[in-house]
Amino acid sequence: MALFDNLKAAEYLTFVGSMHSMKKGLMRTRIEELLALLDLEKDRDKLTVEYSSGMKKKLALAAALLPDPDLLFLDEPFEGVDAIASLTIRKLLATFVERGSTVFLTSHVLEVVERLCTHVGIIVGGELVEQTRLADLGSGGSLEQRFLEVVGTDLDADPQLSWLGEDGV
Amino acid sequence: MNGKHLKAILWLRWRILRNRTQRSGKASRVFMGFLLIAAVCLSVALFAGSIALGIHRLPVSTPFEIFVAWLALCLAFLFSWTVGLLSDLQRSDAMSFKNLLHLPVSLSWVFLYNYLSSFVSLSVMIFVPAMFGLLFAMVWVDGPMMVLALPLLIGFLGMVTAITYQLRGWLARLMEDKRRGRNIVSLLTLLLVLLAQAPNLINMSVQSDSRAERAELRELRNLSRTDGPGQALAIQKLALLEEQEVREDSSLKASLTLGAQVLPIGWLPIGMRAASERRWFVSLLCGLGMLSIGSWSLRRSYRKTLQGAVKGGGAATPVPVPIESNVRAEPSTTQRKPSFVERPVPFVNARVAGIARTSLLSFVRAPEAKLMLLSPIILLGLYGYILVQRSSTSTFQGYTSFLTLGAVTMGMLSVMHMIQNQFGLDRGGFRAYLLSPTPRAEILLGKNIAMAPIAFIIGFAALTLVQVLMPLGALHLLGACFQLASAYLMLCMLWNLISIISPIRLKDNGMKPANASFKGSMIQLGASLLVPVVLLPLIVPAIAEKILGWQHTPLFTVLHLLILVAVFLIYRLAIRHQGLFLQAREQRILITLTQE
Repeated sequence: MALFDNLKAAEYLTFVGSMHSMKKGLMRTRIEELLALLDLEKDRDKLTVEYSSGMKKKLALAAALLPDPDLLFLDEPFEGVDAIASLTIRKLLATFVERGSTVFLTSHVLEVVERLCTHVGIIVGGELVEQTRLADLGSGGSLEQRFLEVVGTDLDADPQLSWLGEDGV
Repeated sequence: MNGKHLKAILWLRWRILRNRTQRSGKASRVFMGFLLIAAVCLSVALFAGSIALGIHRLPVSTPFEIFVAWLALCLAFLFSWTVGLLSDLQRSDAMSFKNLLHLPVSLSWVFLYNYLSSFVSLSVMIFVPAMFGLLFAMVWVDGPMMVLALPLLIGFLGMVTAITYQLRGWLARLMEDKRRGRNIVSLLTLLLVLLAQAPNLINMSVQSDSRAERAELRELRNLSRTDGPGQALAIQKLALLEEQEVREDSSLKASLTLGAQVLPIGWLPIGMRAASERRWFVSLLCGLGMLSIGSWSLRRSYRKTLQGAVKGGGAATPVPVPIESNVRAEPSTTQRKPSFVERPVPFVNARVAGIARTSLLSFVRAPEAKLMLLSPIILLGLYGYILVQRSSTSTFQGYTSFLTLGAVTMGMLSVMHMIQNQFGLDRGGFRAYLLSPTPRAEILLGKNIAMAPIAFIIGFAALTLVQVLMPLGALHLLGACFQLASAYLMLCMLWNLISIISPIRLKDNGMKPANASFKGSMIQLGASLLVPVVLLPLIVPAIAEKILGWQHTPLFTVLHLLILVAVFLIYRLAIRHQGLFLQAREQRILITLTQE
């Protein structure tokens, strides 16, 4: 994440806003709103180096949303984020998409992708091997199933630890 | 990039510096403030001083003296610049390109800004005004034509900053690999320590040479003035010495000039000397040379930065799909040799052996810990060498038995910081001990065994050095080995206690405390000061031997053997109690080690 260790959340957002040439009043209002919405308000005196990974994710998302972009690139936005913040972010992204903007997110949690996305792409070993609308994925199959098919994992394999089985050593 | 961007980035840099200083505590804030005021005062003083001295001295100075003055300024600047650079490189939160690339600003502007901001340093603040002051004095004394020497100064600063910038970029790319990064940071710290000691070492070495020479000259002069049988010989010797001095002087001048001609960092003094002699072509050539090196360095650095920025993007070569990675590996059924951590340790059970071996392995793999071991050894070697050069071995005659305690103490002090805060080095890994069913005394024993080889190797190396300088008899050497073992056991008892009472969380990439309280630091400091007190009983055999005059009897060895047996029995008893104490405090230790 493109954060600076020795900055506070509001300071970092102010810097990002300044780089986007935002007007001071607008910038302040948006920063306050974002901090409150993403539950970073109470930790505003902490430096980002003291943040948990979930808090860092939230701050990076706030920085991305601050200039009100039309396109967002998010890498694992829900990783390390608590359930309440996760719900807030999901709602936020839904509103963002509803008004015609686009969110491009990468995730290993396929349930999240299924719940949020309209289009999916599957990347294996750094190569895009599938790109389709979520609705066109297959007749009733889940994204996980399709992913495992594409990756080529042996679905029938039954992984066991020798000492957990009945004949364990 | 527009003015607003530049303003925002400058503001960001200021905020980072301010927050970092505030975070490092009140003492650090006061120190930084003091440093800044001192730097400003020094800068003004050097600027005014170089103008005044230049105007006063330049009319009567030879071109070589002008060359030496500029060389001294350059070297002082480069020394200070390198120290600043090494200390800056150890910080993890330096402004990085990656942190700015998602913002609406082009890479070339970020590159340029970052380069320009590298000029903001204490070294530039202190020495550059002095350089400009001296140049101003040259213009004042030699006339306005000397302004032509200005590109030399600009070329020098451009070259040094550009090469430094390229070096920083290269190191940053190397440090992307975290393990390599930790090694580089450790190496940089070591370089910093050595560099900071360099003037002291040079001074000590030069002082020792010149003192001896001065004494010899004084003696010869006295002899040459007094009538006597040695007068003629003394006059002859004096003449030879003076001739040799003149030869050495001219040879030094030639070497300095040649060195400055060959190395680009010497082109500024060479160019200034040429300018003072009105050899404008040479002066211009030096300036152009430095500017070319600086430009080439910046261009290369920019290309590498650009390559780094687009690496892995859309233009990159697609990575082939690793099909085999999807096939689950079967567990190996073939017999393999036991790994290092599986092997037993004599006289202790498997649990203690496991703790000892894993602790040792994790320790030797940590670059910061290796560095901590290396630094005192290197410094001691350097200072030891100079001290041995300056003093004769007869100084220590009759005190060899006492010297062994010094060597043993050195071995102990080398590992002190590691054992005194032995759980601090485990960081979050301490949880594994807390969750394990192992008796806590065994954890302490395992940890003490882990560090024993290191303490013994360094202690034995120091004893070997004593043996080389002042040979001990075989029996005394054996006694010194017993002394080494006793010292380690005695100090382990103290250090185990300190580790339990006052653990200190260490930063992830080094040995620096992360959240040390004043009380904790004082306990650690107090324990360090207690080391000589704890080791005091080990001097008894040497004193007994000296008082009784039994240097050629096995008294020293026998007494040390008896002490070792007694210390071992006390250690066995103590470690059980320390184990119980550890159990009582382990939760508190975990909180200290893991709390941000």
